Amino acid sequence: MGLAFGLSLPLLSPAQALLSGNQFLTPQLQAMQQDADVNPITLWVEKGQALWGKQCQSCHQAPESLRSSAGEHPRLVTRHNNTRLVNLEDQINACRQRAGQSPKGLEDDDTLSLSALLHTVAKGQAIQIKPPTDAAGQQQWQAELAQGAQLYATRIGRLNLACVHCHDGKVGANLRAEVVSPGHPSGFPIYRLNWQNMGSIDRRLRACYSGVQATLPAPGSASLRQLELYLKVRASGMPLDGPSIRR
Amino acid sequence: MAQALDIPVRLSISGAVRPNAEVEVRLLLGHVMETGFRHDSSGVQVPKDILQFVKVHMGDALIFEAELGTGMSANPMFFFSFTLPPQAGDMVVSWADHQGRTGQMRRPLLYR
Repeated sequence: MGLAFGLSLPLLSPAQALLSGNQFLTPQLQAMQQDADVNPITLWVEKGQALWGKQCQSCHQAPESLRSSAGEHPRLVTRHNNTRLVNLEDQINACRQRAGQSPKGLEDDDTLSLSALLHTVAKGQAIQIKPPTDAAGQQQWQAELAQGAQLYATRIGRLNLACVHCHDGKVGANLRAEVVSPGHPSGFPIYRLNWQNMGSIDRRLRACYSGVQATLPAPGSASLRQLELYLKVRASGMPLDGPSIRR
Repeated sequence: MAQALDIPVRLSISGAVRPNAEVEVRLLLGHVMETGFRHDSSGVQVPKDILQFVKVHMGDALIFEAELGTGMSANPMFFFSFTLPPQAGDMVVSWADHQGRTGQMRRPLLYR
């Protein structure tokens, strides 16, 4: 299968044809996902609600008022004369700093709890990444997107594979005990049984680098945000699933 | 006095909550269950942190008891069947970690 074909196809397919990662779960895990009483993600969402009431509500009102937020990140943000792509977990930390609290890591329990809460209220909202309105921003945004698209198609690691080879070329095929999904980012943050913990898209993408035995980018690297931007644009219009369980 | 350990707990009952009905109790405990065998990326050993005992009481009666070890996954989940007593009461989940820190959660059970 040609590379150009693999790259252009997902951008052209209608949103309803995009397969969610949830459809690749076993029936048992799907049942676990749908039952809030046994879904471990509930613990994070409940913690997120408690934190929201204490730290966020005074400025942001109810979490539902930020319903569209999860589907709109990553976006370009200028801070200290530095314009860069910021995803939802970055934004949560920036907010925390602005409110005079100490910043925490991307994979910190509090960060993930708030992210899980915001993704829960965003369930069903379409992934809708919009370029900035100003010309300079638009130009940078296009450049970041192009970088992301290029990363997606660049072979890396000892396995010498690019994302495109499996997530466009081998969807539905078996990879050891797994079935390859199209890799649409609709279910983050995820509770990965393998991690026994919640993780953000940042961690998941780094795990992909590890999977093909490539050098891991540092958490929060520009390349991870560019990839995330490309993946979200690629999955444009797809409804968010809310935080999801993964194997 | 043992130190307090506060963890998120979700206790739910599957089935009709009425006297003498057999139900499935589902218990989800939020805990890292760190074995103490792992090392982090900088080579430092991650300290052991596990729940050792979990008990569920209905009134005075012990209805469920588990001793956990390092082989248990994070955020352990327990399902057990239980015949509800004729009298409504409080269901109490209590736990202790390997350092002896304890905590409990009380859930009133009401019959309609």
